[in-house]
Amino acid sequence: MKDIEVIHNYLDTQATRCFNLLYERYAGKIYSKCISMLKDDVLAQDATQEIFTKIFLNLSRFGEKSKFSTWVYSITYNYCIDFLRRKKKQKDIFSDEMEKAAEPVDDLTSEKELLEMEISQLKTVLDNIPAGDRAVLLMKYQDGMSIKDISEVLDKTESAVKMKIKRAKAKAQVTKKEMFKEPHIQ
Amino acid sequence: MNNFQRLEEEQIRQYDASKRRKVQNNLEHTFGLFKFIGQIVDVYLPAMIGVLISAAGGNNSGSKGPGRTPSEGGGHPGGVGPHPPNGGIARR
Repeated sequence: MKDIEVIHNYLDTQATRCFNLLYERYAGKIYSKCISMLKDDVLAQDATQEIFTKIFLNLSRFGEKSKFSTWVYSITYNYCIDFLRRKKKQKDIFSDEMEKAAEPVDDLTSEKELLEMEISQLKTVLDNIPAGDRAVLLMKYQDGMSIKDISEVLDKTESAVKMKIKRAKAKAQVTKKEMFKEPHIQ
Repeated sequence: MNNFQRLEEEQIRQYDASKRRKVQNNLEHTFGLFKFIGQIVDVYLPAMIGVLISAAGGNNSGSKGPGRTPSEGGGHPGGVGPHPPNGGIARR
């Protein structure tokens, strides 16, 4: 059964099996994003629960303008970003990073390096870059979201998102170089 | 599949059956509570509003029980009981 059919069925009948079906489909993915963003297992479990509560309480507001998965991920990222913002008491975790952003490098090279990184290295790099950069990289490369979708999730213009992704890739590359220095051959 | 998606798969595996079940139970409990509160509000709120209107000296004859028709009796100010005698009075 497609997501949209399950949603209509749930809204009509409030059937537990529809809830369980959506939970089975999305719980793991939501948890994965939460642990990437929040870097803590217990917080990620709590966040997964809160996000599911939000999703089901707002299910009737899902406008079908985008895919259900995009809508779910948008709630997930915004929840995590708000949580980190409250925790760090930062006004905007995206704005202050622009000042200390790494210089953008060649786009194709940085993308290739990013996508060819070992999984353990990638995890370390993602854990050590700012949350805003982590979020855009996950949206683009893990969820395959379009620039338009990302711009809607973050409430930014498409050109701002493109620049943000470019800088996030550069920052990931710099972080990798700093954390995994290759031994000098003499 | 790229390395970001492989990382996601690895993290999904960390979300094992016990964590999955724990969060699911909490959610079921939360939604059960919401449903219960919703039912309480649905049943008692109109009656409470009626009591408040009466206490304020107003006339609440226009109010009805939740989702009930006059023929169902209960909640209707002029009603005599849940079932009218002899199958009810024929309406015109």
